[in-house]
Amino acid sequence: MRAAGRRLPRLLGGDAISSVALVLMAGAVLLAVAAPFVCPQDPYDLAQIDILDSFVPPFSRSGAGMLYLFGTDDQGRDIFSAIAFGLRISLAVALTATLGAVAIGTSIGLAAAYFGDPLDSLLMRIADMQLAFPAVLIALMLLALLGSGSDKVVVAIMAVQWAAYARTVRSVALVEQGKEYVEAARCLGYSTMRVLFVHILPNCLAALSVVVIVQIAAAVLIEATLSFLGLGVPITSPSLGMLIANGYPFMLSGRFWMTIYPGLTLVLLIFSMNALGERLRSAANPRERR
Amino acid sequence: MSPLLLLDEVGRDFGSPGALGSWLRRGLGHGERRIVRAVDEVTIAVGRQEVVGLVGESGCGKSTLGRIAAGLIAPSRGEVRVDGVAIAGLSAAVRRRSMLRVQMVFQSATASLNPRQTVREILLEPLRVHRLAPRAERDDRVADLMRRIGLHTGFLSRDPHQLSGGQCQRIGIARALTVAPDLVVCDEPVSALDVSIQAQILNLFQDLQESLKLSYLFISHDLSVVERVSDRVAVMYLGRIVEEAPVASLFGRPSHPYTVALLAAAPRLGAQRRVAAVVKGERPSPYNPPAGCHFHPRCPRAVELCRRVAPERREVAPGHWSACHLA
Repeated sequence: MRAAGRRLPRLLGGDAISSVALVLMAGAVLLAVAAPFVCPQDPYDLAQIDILDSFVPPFSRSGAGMLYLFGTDDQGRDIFSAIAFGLRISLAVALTATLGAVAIGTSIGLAAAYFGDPLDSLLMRIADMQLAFPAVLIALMLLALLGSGSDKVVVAIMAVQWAAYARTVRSVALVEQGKEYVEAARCLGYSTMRVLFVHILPNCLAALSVVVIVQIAAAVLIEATLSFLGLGVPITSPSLGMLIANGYPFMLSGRFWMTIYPGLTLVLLIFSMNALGERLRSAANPRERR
Repeated sequence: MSPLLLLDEVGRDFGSPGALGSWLRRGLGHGERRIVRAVDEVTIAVGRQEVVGLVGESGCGKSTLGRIAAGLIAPSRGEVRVDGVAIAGLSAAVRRRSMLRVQMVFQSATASLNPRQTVREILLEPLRVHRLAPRAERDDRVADLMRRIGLHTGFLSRDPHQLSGGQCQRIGIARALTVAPDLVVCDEPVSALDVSIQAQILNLFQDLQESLKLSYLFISHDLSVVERVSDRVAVMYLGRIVEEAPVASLFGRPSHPYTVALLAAAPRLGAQRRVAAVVKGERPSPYNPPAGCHFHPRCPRAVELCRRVAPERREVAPGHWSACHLA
């Protein structure tokens, strides 16, 4: 954690793009967390929406004088509020899945590196197989088996993302465990669990953190894709992907705002995560420090 | 009385695939994998409060032997005995406990400290994990260790990267001492340090040996270091111990031609320039060691017998053992 503390100023003092990305990301997270408090309406409370206000274009006002910043959809829901609530779901699903995938992938990677062959070969060939297929394809097949729902989406994302963490942790752990502090820890009679999680793992975190942020972006995308295809989150709590799908049939009738604004939000979110990941990567790599 | 540590006919191979691995390799047409005998049937004992030096050139297997002694590598053959008890026969928990009596100090002082721990965490961890001291006394124990290794307690809050090489090595020594070992395996502990720091650390090793009644297995390629700290010295060549003797006897009357060559090659102050090429040729590949005596292709005195038969250890003088047909 001390190393992360030293890295933060460099992250903040980076180039313009990563500063913009950081602001966008912070804004998205804030909006998602504070959605029920800052949004003009709860778009899924039927008492608060007005069917007479359906298909209202951006920057119009409701009868009560409320501003529809991004317009409304076919049910009269405020698109801005729907985006904020959608962000909340998208990020919650992606973060939960990432947390699970990191836990599974890290354990597998550490075990593969520490115990070596034949466990190493076995686990890494399974990871190869997972990485050989497109993530969305595997997720689709899983959801076809499991059925849809937020919890199933989380499971599906974990199933397609653990391998990236396992590979990263394994490669770093292989380097770390060749260092003498690991031998010293074993010599002092520490348990295997202590050697793995107290000594080796903390020294793998810098490399892992870079992968995590890029993979969160990928998780958001997978969830959006699945929801767009109707296999993801339930219709009662739409994520960004489902908002895009819902507005899609009205695109060609001129009601672009129902799809464009959620889409733009998704693009900016993914962009800022990737830009931050890139920045973190070069901050973690001493040779790229400027 | 059995010695503190006895390595009895221990050997260690590297590169030997498991049963499944070798079956797969044959199936895929790779043939058998090549095996290195890093340590080849070595017997060596370390007594109480004794310092045994282990010398040899790089790649002769001395570090592997040290790691076998410290319980970090399991021997492929032979037995490790602590106080006469074979370690391999013990349950995992008891083995871990009894191997605490053998600790290790490493060559790369900086890399032997976890960069994510402060000095205090490094020294407290063994006490906490093995419950070696009541919570209230742990800080005192750590302070006492710091006093013994000659560092101010102000260093406790430092990270390893804020320490010099010599300071790191002192912490490495202190960490080995946290569990109150009887034997410390020192694997080239001063090779990576400046000469001035080397002397300080060697003095520290000698002070600690006297005050804590320690034994050392002191591994080094530096003859002058070994001569200074050791009671007894063993010389290794290509995985075998070729000569073992009390320090004065070994340096005064070396018996094995390899030891003679090693001593002659070491630079000494005041000595006249001599012909450096005492030993001809390159060290043979450990994948394919020569038959008979491993040293015969380079030995100036080799005879026909040396090419065929590996020499047994013989006592050439009281306590002075040599594995040479001609000794």
